[in-house]
Formats: sequence, structure tokens, C-alpha cells
Amino acid sequence: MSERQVDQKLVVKVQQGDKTAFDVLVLKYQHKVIKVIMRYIRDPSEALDVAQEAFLKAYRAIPRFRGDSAFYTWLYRIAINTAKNHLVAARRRPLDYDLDPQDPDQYDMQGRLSDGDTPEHLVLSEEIRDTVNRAIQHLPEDLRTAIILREMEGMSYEEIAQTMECPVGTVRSRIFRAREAIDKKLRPLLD
Amino acid sequence: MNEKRIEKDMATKEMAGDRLSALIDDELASREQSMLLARLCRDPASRGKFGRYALIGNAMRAGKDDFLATGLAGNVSAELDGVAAHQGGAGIGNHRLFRPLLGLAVAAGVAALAIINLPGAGMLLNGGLNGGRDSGSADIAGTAGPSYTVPPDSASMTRAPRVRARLASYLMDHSEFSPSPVRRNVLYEIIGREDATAVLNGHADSTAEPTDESSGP
Repeated sequence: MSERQVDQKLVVKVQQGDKTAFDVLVLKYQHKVIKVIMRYIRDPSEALDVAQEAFLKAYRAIPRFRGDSAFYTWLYRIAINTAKNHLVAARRRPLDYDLDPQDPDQYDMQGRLSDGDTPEHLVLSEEIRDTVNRAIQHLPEDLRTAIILREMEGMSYEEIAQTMECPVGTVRSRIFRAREAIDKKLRPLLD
Repeated sequence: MNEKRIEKDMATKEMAGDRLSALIDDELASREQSMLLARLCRDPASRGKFGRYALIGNAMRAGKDDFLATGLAGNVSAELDGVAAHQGGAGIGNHRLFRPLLGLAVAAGVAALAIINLPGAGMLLNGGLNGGRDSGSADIAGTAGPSYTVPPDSASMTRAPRVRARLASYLMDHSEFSPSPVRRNVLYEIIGREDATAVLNGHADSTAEPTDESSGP
């Protein structure tokens, strides 16, 4: 519910003309959108273009978004339709014919990509992944456990606090410090 | 003093980072959300950090062959800037509320030009103006006398009717090659001008037959 509230606040800001609020939504959902689109389009650079088109469509349509559904559910539908239209325009069949456009959680159950056509995109992805994993290995034990339980297991702060037998505030602080340490290693790669 | 300020800045940044981290995890209290979202919207550095924090989670969950998008947000933002600039460039002239006003202004301009350039109207205007001035002059003339009198044998007075006659015959001769509405307008204009000239010269032919469109050649 809280995530939906945050998204709705950002949507209202965009509707009031604050374009940077839409930047925040793109930063938040770009990876999920790319992942969904890549179920249809294998080529990463083509998928990037389609994802960009989907976000631009969402921006143009956002004045009409009333918040009846969660923002991501709405964005997910736009992403799928954009990918399908792209394939129709290119006269190709989608890779996943039976992906439900109403179910944004379905993308994780589908098979992963087995090949990529543009190595430069995948090289950067691999470097990012390696940098993050190396940084995690160098974290102190308590920080490493906290970030893994959060990002890999999807536990809430409350659940992590129970697991690690520490206050929720400590969990929040540990996860933040873990992210800061990883970010320090990641920033030079992205700059 | 400076050290205290640096420490305070660092503490503020750390607090903002801690809140960003909690926001990513959907663990930020709603009372803290609005302030942090406002900061995110106005501070590019905070947005950069937010994007990297999101990337870290995705990189941790990504499989061996998964693709991680890094430049998408920047591309979308640049594209939106282009759209905004394009919309801004359209300006006031293309605004739907101003289009009728623009049309009215053009129409008014064309009408004003037409009134000024119409020969008959010009003559009437001149006549009206001169008449007004003359009547005023007459009042003054009673005391000060005429200020200017056209000499009766002036070259312009003798030349003008000849020029008008030549122009009228030229138009009459060539009117047969014109489309009928244009021809009609030209004929009306000539007749109207001759009538007006006659009126102005004070010897209008009261016996002249009215021009009948059906009695043409």
C-alpha cells in the first residue's frame, strides 16, 4: 500500500507539471520494464528503444491516469502493448505468446534470455553485476546479511530484525550502509 | 566553524541517503515521504543515488544473462526535454485560444487595406475629409479668405480626364477576356467612377440610363 502511495504522489506531481517526478518513476521501474520487454524482444538495444517508447507513451497518457490501479500495473500494460505493437510493425511473432498483460508479477516466472545480440550492452551489465557482487563479498558480515535478506529474500525490515535479533532501526541503518559501500564501488563504473 | 558546517552537511546527506534507502525498500514512514520526494524532484544528485540504489538490487537479483539498463532514464528525460522544448516553441501563436484572434486580426488588416485602396472609397474618403475641411475652411474663410485655389488651367486638371478616358477604354476593350465576375466589377468600377467624377464636377447626367446587366453584349 505504501509503495502505491509513493507512486501516486509522484504521479500527481507529474500531472501538475513536474517532469522530474517522472524521472524518479523511470529510475524506479526501468529495470522491471526492460525485463518485461525482453520477454518479447531479445535484442537489448531494440528492447531499450521499445522501453523508452513505452515510458514516453506513459508520460503522454499520465494526465488520464486516475489511480484506479497501481502505477506499475498500468505501466506494465503499456510496456507489453508497446512491445507487441513493435513486433507487429516489424512483422515478427512475440517470444512469449501467453504472457498475461493483466499480471505484472508474471514476468519473473518466464524463462530467462539465453542469448544477446549486442555484446557491449551485456558487457556493461556483466561488469555492474561483478562489481556489485565483489562489493558485497567485502562487506562486514552484519551488513552483508542485512542487504541479502532484503534484496534476495525480499524480507521486510521487521522480518530481518527478527531474524538478526536486532532493532528495526539497526536493520535500516545496516542496509543503508551496505548500499553506500556498494555504491562507492559502482559509481566510477557508471561515470 | 567550517568543520562544523561540513559535519552538518555530511550528517544531512547521510540522513537523506538513509531515507532514500528506506524509500527503495518501501519502509519509509508516510510523514517522511513528501519531504523526500520533493528533495528527489529538485536534486539531481539524490535522483542519481536513488537510481544506483535501485540498480544495486537489480544487479543482485540479475541472472548471468540478464541485461541491466543504465542509460534509459537519461534517454527518456532527454526525450521529454525535447518534447517540452518543442511544445514551448509552438508558442502563443499556435495556442487554440489565440487562433481565432489571430484570424480576426488578419481579417481586420485585409479589410482596412481594402477600404484604403478602393478607388471609390478613397475618393469618398478624400471627399469627406476635404468636405469637412472645406466647411471648416469656409467658416475661417469668412474671416481669413481662401488659403489655396487650384488654377483653372492647371496641367493636372487637363490631363486627368484624358488619362481616365484612356484607362476606361483599355479596361472596356480587355474586359471581354476576363472572367465574368471580374468583368462585372471592372465595369461597375468605371461607371461608378465616372458617376462620382461627374458628381464631383457638378454636372451629373440625370438622364443617364441605369446600367442593366442583362443588356450587355
